[in-house]
Amino acid sequence: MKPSRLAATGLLLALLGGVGWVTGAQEAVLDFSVSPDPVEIEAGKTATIRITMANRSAHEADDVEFFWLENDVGIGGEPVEPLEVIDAFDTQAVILPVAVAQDTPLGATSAQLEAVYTYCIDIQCYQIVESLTVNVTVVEPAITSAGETQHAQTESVEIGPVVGAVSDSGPAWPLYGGIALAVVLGILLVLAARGWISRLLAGCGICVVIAVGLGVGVDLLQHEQAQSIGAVLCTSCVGIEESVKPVAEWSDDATARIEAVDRPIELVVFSAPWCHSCPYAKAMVAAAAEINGRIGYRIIDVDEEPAEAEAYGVVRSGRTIVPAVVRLDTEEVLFGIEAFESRFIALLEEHE
Amino acid sequence: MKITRWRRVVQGGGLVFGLLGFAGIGMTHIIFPGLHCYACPLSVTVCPIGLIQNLIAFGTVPFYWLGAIAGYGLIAGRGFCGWFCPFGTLNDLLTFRKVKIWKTGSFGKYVILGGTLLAAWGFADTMFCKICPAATVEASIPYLFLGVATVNAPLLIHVASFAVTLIGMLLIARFWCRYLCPMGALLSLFNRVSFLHLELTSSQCTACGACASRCPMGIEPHLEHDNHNCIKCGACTEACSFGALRLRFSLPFRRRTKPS
Repeated sequence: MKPSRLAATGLLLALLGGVGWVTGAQEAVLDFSVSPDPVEIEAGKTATIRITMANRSAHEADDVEFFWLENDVGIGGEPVEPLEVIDAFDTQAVILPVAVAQDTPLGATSAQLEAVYTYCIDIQCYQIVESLTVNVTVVEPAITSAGETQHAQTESVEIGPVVGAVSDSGPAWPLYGGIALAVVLGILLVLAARGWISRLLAGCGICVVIAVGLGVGVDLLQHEQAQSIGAVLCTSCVGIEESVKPVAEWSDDATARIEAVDRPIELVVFSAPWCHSCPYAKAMVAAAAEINGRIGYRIIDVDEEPAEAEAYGVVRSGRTIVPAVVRLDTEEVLFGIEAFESRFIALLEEHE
Repeated sequence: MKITRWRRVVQGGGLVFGLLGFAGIGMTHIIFPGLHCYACPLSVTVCPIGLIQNLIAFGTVPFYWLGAIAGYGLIAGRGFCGWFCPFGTLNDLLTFRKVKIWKTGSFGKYVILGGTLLAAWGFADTMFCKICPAATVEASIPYLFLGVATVNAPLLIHVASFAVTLIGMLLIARFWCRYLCPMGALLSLFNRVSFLHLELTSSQCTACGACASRCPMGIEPHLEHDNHNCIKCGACTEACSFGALRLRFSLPFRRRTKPS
């Protein structure tokens, strides 16, 4: 094989094969990481964890909130105010209190934390619920000479969204490095006009530019950024909601709990004709109303009655989010269809 | 006829590669070496022009993009226009009048490239995509039939820009590639170093002009070596009865231009 063919084939393979680990994988919108992992807490005390969220998508994520799922090991915590917005490709953090009950067994354990946020592509918004595992090591309370437990030092730490601390404006070198790389490439291309020696230099130089560009680019996750940008218009590809909808049917357990509702509940379902998950939400609410006559509902098309959404509080960050189910007496809102069954039951059983 | 037949096969491959979405593959990390809309329902690759506009709008320094473009440029330069780009293939299929190129006008594509990048920076938006005729064929019209898009102003702008390009293509061979394509402008910068190139043996050239009359880009291959408008399609090599022109694949420093 001629060296030129070999070199070109190698280059082509490096370009297509090396970079193209053809994933087709569902792209996560937010990447969560919990630190410290595991967190060490004295029994009966409260400590804090830092949750760092990197937005891997080309659109902003809004209203990030955390909820502890019920567990039998006694781990929980006070809710903190939601993080309003994480810009495209930005990174933010939240400090969250973790409380351990007095009777939690010592040693390693874990609890589930649910992260709930909304993600909007133009006017289409989705609610995303993601489950995080928080690993906790429960240690024996430190005993002072007076026999009283010490105050945890972490109490002075401010909880809630970290202001400006993580927001990653990045170091300055990529800018200068990128400009330098483009300038070098330009000089090489001009050089290439003058005979074979300069062509040799230009060829080698361009190979270096390719290696540096792709290497640094992949290191900065720019290949994933490129993929996210390409996938934006394909809403089911970016993994925000399943494109295949579940069958609208209540489980036996849920049916029993809907039947047990003993007082009238009025619901309003917000929907839009372009919304792919709305039919499922509407069908589920209609089925619930059929199971128990005390549940009443009406459906509002947000395209036709945009003012209603504002009035009922289903607007977030200036965007109407559908599907949304509002319970009128408690003013609680349920967004999206992820884990619809359990969240709908929780909505019905509140304050009972 | 041999080269043209080979080229049709490779062009078909480029089309299949661009539309691999029919095989159920999602969006990949690959940047397409041509003007091919990533919003196309079947697209699995990222359009380089669309991507760079987004990166400029986000304020990202485009290392990955630069590396990929340099790689494609080094391999074939504008050879991708002639052999791979689906929109280039459309231009190719609508080739009827191989008129001589308007040289000053052919710098229009650099103006469009510069304008595209400046507009992306100024408006923080993908302005070029809103008038891109490739997007009309690959995104606007398909989404209209899929019921996602409606007949509105952006669609009409797309259709109008495609109509203008179409008329241009029918009157002038590869009208879009010659005068307007920003991706062609990018790849043309690499024409002098690319592995794929046109070799001229001047001692065998009789300056008969047969190659020029067959060139879809309207250039004179025997006079303008390594021209930024050459798409390396090989039409001229078939036209030459004296074997003075050859399409070759060799390392940049080994390419020869034999003086007469």
